Amino acid sequence: MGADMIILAYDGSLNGDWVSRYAMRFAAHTGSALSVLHVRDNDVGDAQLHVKLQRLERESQALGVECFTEVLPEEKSVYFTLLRQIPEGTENIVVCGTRVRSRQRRFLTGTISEKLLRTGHFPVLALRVVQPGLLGTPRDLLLPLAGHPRGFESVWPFFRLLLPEVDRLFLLRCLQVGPLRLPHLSMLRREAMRQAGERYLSGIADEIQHRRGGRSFHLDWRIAICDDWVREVLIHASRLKVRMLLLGATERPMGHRLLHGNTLERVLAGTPCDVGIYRSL
Amino acid sequence: MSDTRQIQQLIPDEVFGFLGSRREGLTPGEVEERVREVGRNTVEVRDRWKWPRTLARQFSNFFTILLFVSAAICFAADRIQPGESMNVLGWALAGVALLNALFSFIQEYRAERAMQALQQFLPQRVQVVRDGTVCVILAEDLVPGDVLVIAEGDRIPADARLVECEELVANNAPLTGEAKPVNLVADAVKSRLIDSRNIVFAGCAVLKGQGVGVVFATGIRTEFGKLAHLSQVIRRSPSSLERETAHMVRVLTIIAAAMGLAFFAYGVLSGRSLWVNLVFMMGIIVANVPEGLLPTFTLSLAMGSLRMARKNVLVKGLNAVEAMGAVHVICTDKTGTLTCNQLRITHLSPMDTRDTPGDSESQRKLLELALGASFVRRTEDGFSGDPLDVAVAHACRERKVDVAEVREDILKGFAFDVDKRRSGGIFSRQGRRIFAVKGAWEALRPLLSAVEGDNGRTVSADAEVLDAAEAHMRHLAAAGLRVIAVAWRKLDENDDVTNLTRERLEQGLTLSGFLGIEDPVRSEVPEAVDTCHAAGIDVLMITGDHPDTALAVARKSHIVSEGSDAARILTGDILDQLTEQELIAKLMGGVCIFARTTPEQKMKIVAALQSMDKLVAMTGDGVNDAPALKAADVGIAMGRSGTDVARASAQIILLDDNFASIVAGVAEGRTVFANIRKFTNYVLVSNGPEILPYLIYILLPVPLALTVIQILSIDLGTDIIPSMALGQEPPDPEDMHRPPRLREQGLLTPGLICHSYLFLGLLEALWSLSLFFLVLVQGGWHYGQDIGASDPLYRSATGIALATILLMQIGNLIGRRYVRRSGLDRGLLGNHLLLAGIVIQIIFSWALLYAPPLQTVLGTAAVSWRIYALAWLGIPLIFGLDYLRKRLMLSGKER
Repeated sequence: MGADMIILAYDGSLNGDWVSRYAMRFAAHTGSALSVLHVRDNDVGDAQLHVKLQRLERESQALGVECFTEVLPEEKSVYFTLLRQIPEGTENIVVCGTRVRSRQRRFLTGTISEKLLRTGHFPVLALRVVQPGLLGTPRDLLLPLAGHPRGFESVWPFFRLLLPEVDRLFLLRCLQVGPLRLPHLSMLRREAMRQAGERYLSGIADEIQHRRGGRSFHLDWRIAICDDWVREVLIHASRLKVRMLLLGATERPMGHRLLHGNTLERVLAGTPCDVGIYRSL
Repeated sequence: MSDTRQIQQLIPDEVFGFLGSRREGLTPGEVEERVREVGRNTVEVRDRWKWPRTLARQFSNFFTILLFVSAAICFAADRIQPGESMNVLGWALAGVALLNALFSFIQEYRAERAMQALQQFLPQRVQVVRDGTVCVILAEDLVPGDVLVIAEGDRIPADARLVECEELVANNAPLTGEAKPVNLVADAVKSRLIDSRNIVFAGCAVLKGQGVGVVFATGIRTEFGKLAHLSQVIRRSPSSLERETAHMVRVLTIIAAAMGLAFFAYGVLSGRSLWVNLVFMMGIIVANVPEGLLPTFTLSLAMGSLRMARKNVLVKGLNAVEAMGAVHVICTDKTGTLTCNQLRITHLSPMDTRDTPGDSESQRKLLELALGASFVRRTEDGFSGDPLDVAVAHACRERKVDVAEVREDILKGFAFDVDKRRSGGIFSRQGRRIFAVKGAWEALRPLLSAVEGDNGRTVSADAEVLDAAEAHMRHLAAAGLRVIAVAWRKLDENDDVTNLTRERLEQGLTLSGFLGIEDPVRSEVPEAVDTCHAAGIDVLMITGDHPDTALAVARKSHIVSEGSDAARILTGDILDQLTEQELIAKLMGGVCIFARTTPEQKMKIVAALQSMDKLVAMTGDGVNDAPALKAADVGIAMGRSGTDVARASAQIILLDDNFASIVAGVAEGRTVFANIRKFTNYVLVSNGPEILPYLIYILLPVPLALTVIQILSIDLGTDIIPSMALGQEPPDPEDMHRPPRLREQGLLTPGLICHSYLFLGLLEALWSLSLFFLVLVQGGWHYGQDIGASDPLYRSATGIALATILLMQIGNLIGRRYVRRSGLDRGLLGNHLLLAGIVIQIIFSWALLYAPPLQTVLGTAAVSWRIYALAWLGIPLIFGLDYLRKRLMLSGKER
């Protein structure tokens, strides 16, 4: 799939500015145009917004990216307005930010980004930027994979946005077992699990080799048998000193969310690096 | 067009724009918004439920739950039928469970101090520009975009990009492990972020100068924060002993609960009263559970840790005592651990070889030049400064070079530059001004234009001449020497020394020669490494040194044999490029020396070894060693040279930094495990005679031979000291000639269960029950007759059953000292606790029959001396039959 356009859902916040750097570079890397959509919701003043959009256009131009900015009046809700404006299909990629709402330490739950991720009408990449100094160019990536049957296919549309600047890519397969069971897992069972993980990841690695064309980067993978995959992902992110985590958003039933909590929120809150949460079609 | 620049690649003026900041600093509104987005600048991972969760975990293991359930049954029984002292029993069981849980919790709590040590690297308050004014704020309040004012002596609170810089020199030791000053700049650089010299990193110290930086990463997103994050969240996987103990407890609990419930159901169906069935069920459970075993484990490990401390191995967590004995691989540092960390110049190799070796003029000149490029101070104890510079000063003094005179003539010095890997200085000698440089050959070679030759001539440094010099350097390095090249040039008399830059000076140099520096291998190390190899333990050396030097030290330390080649070495740059699978292949191929590595790469090595199912011990001393120390199965920090963070992250502290002490610790760990096996075997034997009376009681119309309180008097009373005595048994020399046990090899093996329950346990049960029924029959009891608990005949019979078990445990105790030998061949006097255990068993067996207070408590009464003498026969019976079994097994193996 090749992105026709990178669509940035821009809220005018500081985080939005940081996310916009990513969007600009994605557009530059893929040779796409950048469409910036802002729904007027009175959070940002007109004058300030104008300055910010101008800067965005200027920086895009400097990168050789064709940039269209659009300020939309709010209909019903910001989400509804965006939904009406963004064309359905796999041609475009929507980029948005995850940001903490005042008085609550949640980054995704209840936000417009979460709704966009759940929509399923277009591919969405929600970004949490904690290292603005990277300027949207993370070169070391960690890709935790949950064993999706589609393999790398679901990640590829987003990974290719980052591909031109990747130096190191780590794949991580966390094989989760219950906390009571983990200490008593036999070595035989561990080995069997590890081998299954190994098979899955080597298959993904082959797929990446096939897709990356002439681009060379260091590719490595890890298998972790753990009782808490979120913790393991964060440990690996710190340990491997990666600059970005790229995670797939999956639909969990309500029961699962109630039982295990919102695991993505834990990643977003405790991350030592930038995080991208993607959902392809 | 694609711009992939990062913060270090921007020119200073661009930095503000990209971080949404300005020279006047952020406004309060911007600060508030950024705090909300990225949080506070703290490296502490706050988890308010951590300690409650840890405490809850101590109460959720099978053993503790079982003890609490047993206690609850006792309290219930006391309510149903008061006056049987069941509540006392309940309190005793609950007390044991509570103590076990609290002890484990306190141990875990004390081990978690890494955070406090890490916090010391970050400042409390910092100076920033906000809203146009310079103000002092809490370091925790820093946000990306803040303009940080940096001055000499400061600690850096967050990662910041320098925009102004005035002779700024920082010490990045917390991140790199290299305590060398780094000259910083404000200009754009092309290197990777982590290697950039225009970045100041959190946790590092400013040695000199001043500057202004713009913060771009805070909290756990800083490089130091990532270290801190790992140090806090990495959980060491449970030690093999913890896993095996948990497995054993689970098996015993399941057996106890299944038996208890099955016979409770049988009792109810066969029409016995609820009370009888409850007591019976509880008796079965109590008889099956070795209540004293886990406290004895703890005591044994504590005693092991004391013995280790005497060998300079300080243990922070008790489980590390046994874990040391189980390691498959020891990853050790070189400097200070394998070697003495006392640099000595043992080889002077001037290029001018006109003089005879020894006290030659050219050697003195070489040393003078090296001293001119060094920074040493004279102190009361000798010299102080960089160890290499001190070694140069010592060599000068040995060769009668006046150190003070040379030092006084130094006009300007250039400190060692980590990136350039050299130091330099301008000094005057015999009226001439000389610029001298000393450093790594690779760093000096491009700067050379000439090489000194014989008789004071110089030859042009063409490729051939330089290759010859390099070959000479490699020859020295291959002999295990660290080689430093020394070069110089004459300066023009008219040059203004103060204005001469390093770049101008470092050109057209003449190679004077090489210094061969040795850090001798500790004398006890080769033997210790041999011991490791004999014990099936692999030793890997991880060092930042040159591969040739590393190989030479590995040979001298016996890590590799004399004939080993470079195939056993892996350098840091190659290691960086390898995937984990490729690294595993290299390790399996025999790589055991890691040269030119950074402390960060230790984590990669640990992870690869653990993927190979190896138990890994890792040494470390720096702040950035902390994650590897926590990730390893046994983290060993250096007591003398280690930082507080390393010590806080490790389980073991090596008081003398000596590799040989690690090996002594391994031997002690193996002894502890062997002893734990011995007393587990010992304790489980008494479960047999405790369980069988209950089975007979429920199946046949006979009285119960042993009450619950009597069982507890064994498990929590008389068995404790003998178990501790077995835990004190000295090492078996054979322990270090066996390979480490497999991860899968448990404590509670089928062989041990059969031996404990079906052989020795059954023997004790049969003999004690025989005497029990002998007393009853002699007293007029007949099969099927009911007899009350207060009947003197019953009290005598139950007394002799208990006394017989106690005495037979003496035979069991002596037999458990060795797997193959009798147990008497070492004598009983060597282990005082063993003797005390035997005396206690004897006295208690007598007192419970003949001392009225004990008779009252245990519900026993006296028997005739003849019957008591029969109980004594149990000792040779159990000991003799067990010895016979050992002999038969040995002869079977020999055949």
